[in-house]
Amino acid sequence: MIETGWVKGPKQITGLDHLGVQAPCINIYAQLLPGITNVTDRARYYSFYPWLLTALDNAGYSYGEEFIKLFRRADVLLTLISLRHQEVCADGNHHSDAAVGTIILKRALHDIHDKGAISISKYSSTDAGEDRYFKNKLGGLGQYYLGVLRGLGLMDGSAKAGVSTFLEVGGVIASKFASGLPTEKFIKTVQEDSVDLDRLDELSGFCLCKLKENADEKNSLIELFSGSGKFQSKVEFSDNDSERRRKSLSYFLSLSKISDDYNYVLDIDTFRALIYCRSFSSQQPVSIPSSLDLVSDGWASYQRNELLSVALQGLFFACLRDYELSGESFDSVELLAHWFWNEGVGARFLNIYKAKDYGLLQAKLLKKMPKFKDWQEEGHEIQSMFQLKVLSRESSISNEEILEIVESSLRILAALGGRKENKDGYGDLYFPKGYFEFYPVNLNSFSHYLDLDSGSWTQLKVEDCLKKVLADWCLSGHLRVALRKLRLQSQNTFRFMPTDLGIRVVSVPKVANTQPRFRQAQAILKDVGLLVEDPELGLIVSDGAIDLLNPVVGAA
Amino acid sequence: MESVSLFSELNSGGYDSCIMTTYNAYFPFYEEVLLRRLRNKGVSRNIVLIDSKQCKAAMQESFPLLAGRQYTLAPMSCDAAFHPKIILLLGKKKGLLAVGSHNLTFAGLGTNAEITNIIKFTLGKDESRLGVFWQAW
Repeated sequence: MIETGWVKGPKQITGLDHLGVQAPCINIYAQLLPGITNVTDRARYYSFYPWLLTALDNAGYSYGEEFIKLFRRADVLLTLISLRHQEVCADGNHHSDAAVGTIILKRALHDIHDKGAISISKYSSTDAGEDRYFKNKLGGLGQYYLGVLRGLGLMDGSAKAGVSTFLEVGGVIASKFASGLPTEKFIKTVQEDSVDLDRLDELSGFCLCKLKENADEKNSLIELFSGSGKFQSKVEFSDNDSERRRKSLSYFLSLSKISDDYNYVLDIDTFRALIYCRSFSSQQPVSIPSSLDLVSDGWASYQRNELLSVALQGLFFACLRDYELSGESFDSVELLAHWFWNEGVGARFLNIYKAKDYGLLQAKLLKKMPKFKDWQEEGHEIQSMFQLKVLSRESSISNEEILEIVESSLRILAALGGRKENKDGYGDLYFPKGYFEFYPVNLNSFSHYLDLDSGSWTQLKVEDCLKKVLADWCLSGHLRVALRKLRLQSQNTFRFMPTDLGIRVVSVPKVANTQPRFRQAQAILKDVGLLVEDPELGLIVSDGAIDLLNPVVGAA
Repeated sequence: MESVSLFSELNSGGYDSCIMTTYNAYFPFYEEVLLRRLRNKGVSRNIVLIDSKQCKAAMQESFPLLAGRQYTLAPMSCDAAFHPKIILLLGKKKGLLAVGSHNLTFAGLGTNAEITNIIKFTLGKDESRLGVFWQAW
């Protein structure tokens, strides 16, 4: 009659974007690079899946249980072929990198070595078990690629209703994929449900690396990503997407080319610096074709929001770490923030600068900072961003390091509020009506309160202004986000929480960047041969890329 | 001893009224999470009875923004502390009574080691349990 038990709380997870400040970044890069996501790393899947759906349809399978069974076997077979090709070539090229289900399927390849042949369905079965390569009914397509392939006009449908290839776009790509490949043997292998090493070798032409050897398929994919050539008029419903993707990929290639010219490796850190400063230094400006102005402005806005996000995460980290180490206890975020700027490490920082109001502090910090274009110099906001990430990852942290974190965070905020290059906010980017009600801390609100010339908080006493930033934007911001996630997803993502005994720190999150699909775009540009590996410079622009790039860029 | 998810119970639907009593509260948690969930599930009459001194302290931390509009907040004054932790969910055909040590805070319902006793009632099925509900009322 009476059920007695311990009260069970919602599931605790680490969570992401604890302050709700990264969301605009994610929105921006999704706008600027549609059709490529953080999990769609290999270009060949954009042609393989349309081909596979067409091939199964042609073989007489309509969407249903049997279709899914064969589809999953084919998904597994492609990864096995790529893994085997990697083993045979042993050349450091990207064969099975980011192929679907490699962790489990490496075991399958070992099985083939041990036993001679295996049943593919042992790994492709939908039944739960340690051998199942993927839970999603449609494997890698359902989990990663379906949304973007639909967006690109290659296919339609859903795992529930069934998927099919759009012949006008997907059909063209599928036929290019199939040309010269032993497709009948591939489908026969899937039907027979058995594979050995010889068969994997016979099917090596399907390996993900082989895209660059199939000129027709490769060029079709380049045209698809750029919305040009035979796809120019066909992808009507995603015209704007095509344009933005085309310009973003061209922008990435242009940055790669300029990096090559200056002998720099274009890694993710350099990319962040370049899209923000558009230079390597005052003496090494980056010149971008004017046709890419809009897209480069969009990426600069992305990086501004990223800096804001990192700076606020830095303050959040510093305050919670200092609180943890201090042994103090406070009942509210206001009391905690007040303590931090009046007695904690924050107070030590303010004592160094001795500024009466926030505007004065901002001006003092800016005066000591390098020029906007000199991002490689110490004290630049880009260097501060790098430093915040490193410091927040240290396993034990001293008060001196917390002080450095405070200084780096405030330097970034000073640059965002004070540099003339940062006055543009989000520029021409589009956000749905009401979007910022969910994300009240953003470049617009930042400018409203902390812009050096017009911000309404800059005249406040420095402790009061920074208390507002810390209490309202960071600490209360986190509680707002965590409560929303608790309500909508029943997940506990609180990094600190108010308790009967005062605020208790659960776990201090490290400062994190968003991932703007740069690596994925690089991987895809590499797969289609527009970027090639250089032993010293990493990925560089290929000889043929510029010729291909020019018509893609248009006026550029 | 089994564990009981009060979160899931509050989300189960079929109720139209909810009374909660507590010693202290974290209003954003009640208003943003519990109240919204309850209202989404059709629980339109919501009442919170809270110790008056603790209510004042909780208001200083975060002011209740929806009290008087979406629910009734009643600070309780008595000789000692007002300390019962009861959740009474009532519907036309069923009821749920939870009596335990859980305050109306996220720690109380989410992370602390708190205990609860749950009694359920369905019309025409468990009518002998009605007496406990009357007692709680």
